Amino acid sequence: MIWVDVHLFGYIARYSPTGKETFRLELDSEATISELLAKIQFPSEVERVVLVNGHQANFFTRLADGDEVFIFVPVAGG
Amino acid sequence: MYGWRGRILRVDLARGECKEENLDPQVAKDYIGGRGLGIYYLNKEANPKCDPLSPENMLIMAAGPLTGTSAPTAARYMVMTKGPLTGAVTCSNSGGHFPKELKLASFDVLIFTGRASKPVYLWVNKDKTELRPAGHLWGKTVPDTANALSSETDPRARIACIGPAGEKLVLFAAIMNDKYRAAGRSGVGAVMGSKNLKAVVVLGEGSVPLADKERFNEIQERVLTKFRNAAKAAPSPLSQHGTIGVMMPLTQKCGVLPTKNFLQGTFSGWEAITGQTLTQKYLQKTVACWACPIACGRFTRVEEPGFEGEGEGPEFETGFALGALCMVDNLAAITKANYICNDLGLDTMTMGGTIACAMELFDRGYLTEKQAGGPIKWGDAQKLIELVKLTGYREGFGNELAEGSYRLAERYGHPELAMVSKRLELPGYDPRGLQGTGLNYATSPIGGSHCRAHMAYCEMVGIPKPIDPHEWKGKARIVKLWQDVFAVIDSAGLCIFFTIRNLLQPEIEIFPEGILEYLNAVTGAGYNMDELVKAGERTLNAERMFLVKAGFSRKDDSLPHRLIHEPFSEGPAKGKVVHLEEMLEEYYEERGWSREGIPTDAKLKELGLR
Repeated sequence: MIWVDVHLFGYIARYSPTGKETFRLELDSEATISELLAKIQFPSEVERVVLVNGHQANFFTRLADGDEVFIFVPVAGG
Repeated sequence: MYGWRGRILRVDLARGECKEENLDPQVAKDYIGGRGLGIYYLNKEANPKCDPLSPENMLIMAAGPLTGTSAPTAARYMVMTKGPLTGAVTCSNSGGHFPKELKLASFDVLIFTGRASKPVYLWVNKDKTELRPAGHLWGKTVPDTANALSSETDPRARIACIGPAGEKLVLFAAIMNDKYRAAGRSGVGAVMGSKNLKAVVVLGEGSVPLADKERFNEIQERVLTKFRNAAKAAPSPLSQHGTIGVMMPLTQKCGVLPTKNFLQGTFSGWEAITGQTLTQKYLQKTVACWACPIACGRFTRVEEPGFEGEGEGPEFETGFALGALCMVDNLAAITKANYICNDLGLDTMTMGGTIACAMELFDRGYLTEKQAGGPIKWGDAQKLIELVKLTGYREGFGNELAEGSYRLAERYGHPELAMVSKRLELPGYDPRGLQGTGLNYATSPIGGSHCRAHMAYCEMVGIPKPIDPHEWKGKARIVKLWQDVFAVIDSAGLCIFFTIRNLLQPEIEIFPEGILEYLNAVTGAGYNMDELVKAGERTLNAERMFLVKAGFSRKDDSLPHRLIHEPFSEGPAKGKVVHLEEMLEEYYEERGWSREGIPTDAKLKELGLR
């Protein structure tokens, strides 16, 4: 098993299993982003972008113990 | 004409005369409007070698054909001139309500030439135009000027003006409109000040005529419904926490938040200065420009002693520059510094970049306490406020800061510590972790700007599609296309924030399909995609030709030594530097320019520029 730190950024924090923007989640070893999203029941109709340790990730990106996963609504600003 | 109002106002400040002329429909189609039309007139009539603060320089304000229509975010205009900070062409963009009003007053372009013998302002009241004395406004701050002009003209009028910084020729003075929106970069406000032009006040009426209203409404329905449905599922963080709430966390997480004058890519104090903190502590209400469904503007109020005030801001670029770059983690101080910049009419980005440069010069012992009028230490929030005020009025050490970071660093013998390209301070995305962003900074016609092609969207956050940020091979092709399409956005009169997600093909090849639809419905000009992208490319090449004539070449398509030779020691971009020379080779080839960065005759002929 592995533990990852998940950050649901902004409005989508409402989909957090703990109700908080940041939480720690236990997953099977080498779990993918797809499995993480399924585990927290993240709605498929909500567009999202995922970063793992500051790098862009996709559904198939495999996670490792201690990874930081940052999920946000795609947005262009700044 | 539809979309375009077909009229240009020429203001000869030396003679005190205003003269109208018609806009040539073919020129309008070829250059679209805004930024495109601006460079058309600059190339035709300005001397690229002129002193930017002399009467010889021209100042152009240009709206796009979509500006003032109800197309989403059609609120933008461009200020074009030769920038005093950079010596390069500049196109400084702003939104709010002033640009829309310019269109309702039936003008596409205002062209200012010469210098008035005494301070004046331009009053465009529907179809009447006049230059009025502005001696009584000289010395006034931006809000005081705007309030006075509202009273003496019409409370419904929209105002663009300079503050004391523009009058004092601070090289990065902004032109502020609607009090809080800024055409900020390259010192366009100093050009206005050099012309003794304090303000432009505009009142229009009616609406922008549309070629095909039915088609326009169909497009609106489709585009806005899609936007609203997405917002219903999850509102944009841009609406919720502003630009500072989006880009501060993302740059930090990706290790590209420029910190300590680009010595670091992450800032330990970032959470204290991000948009979420701003929302909790200071946000009063969100603010939208004309026709904008996003409303990323923040009206804020600070009550902490010493930092009291209210107004709009800070945006991300302000927060990064006055915050992380200077190691200031006090959001009240950053917000207060932003208010002062707005009041005095200063570009917050160059202000922050210049103070950060002074902090590094001081830290390394190249600048002494005596020379700087006291210590300038990293993270000193009180000092930040003091220096911004001094700069706006060119008092004390502020007189040296008023020249921007390049001249400051050069004066103290270390120009390599100025984090600039073409002497324009770099934005809040460290290009060591974003190769295409680096190439764009170096080749942007105005110097270090993200707005000429915001590659961090695809490189950092995967919008509209992800691309490897660390790969440099093949980036030139993407940067070229993005620069051309961004020129189309700027020329049409739209805001990047909405357009990138809603009006472009959602691929790395961001063809402007939504803009094409809107432009054809609004103007009836019958653009095809090839013509539209070519118009963007024409603008880029016309700007490049202005630079070439002003003496710029490959040597100026540069980045600071630090970004090319000093890799980060930690974070997601660890070990990376910008591969600029390699990318430049590819870029010039993609552009059809010589290896010296000069457009070839064949390219100029293809674009109708020769």
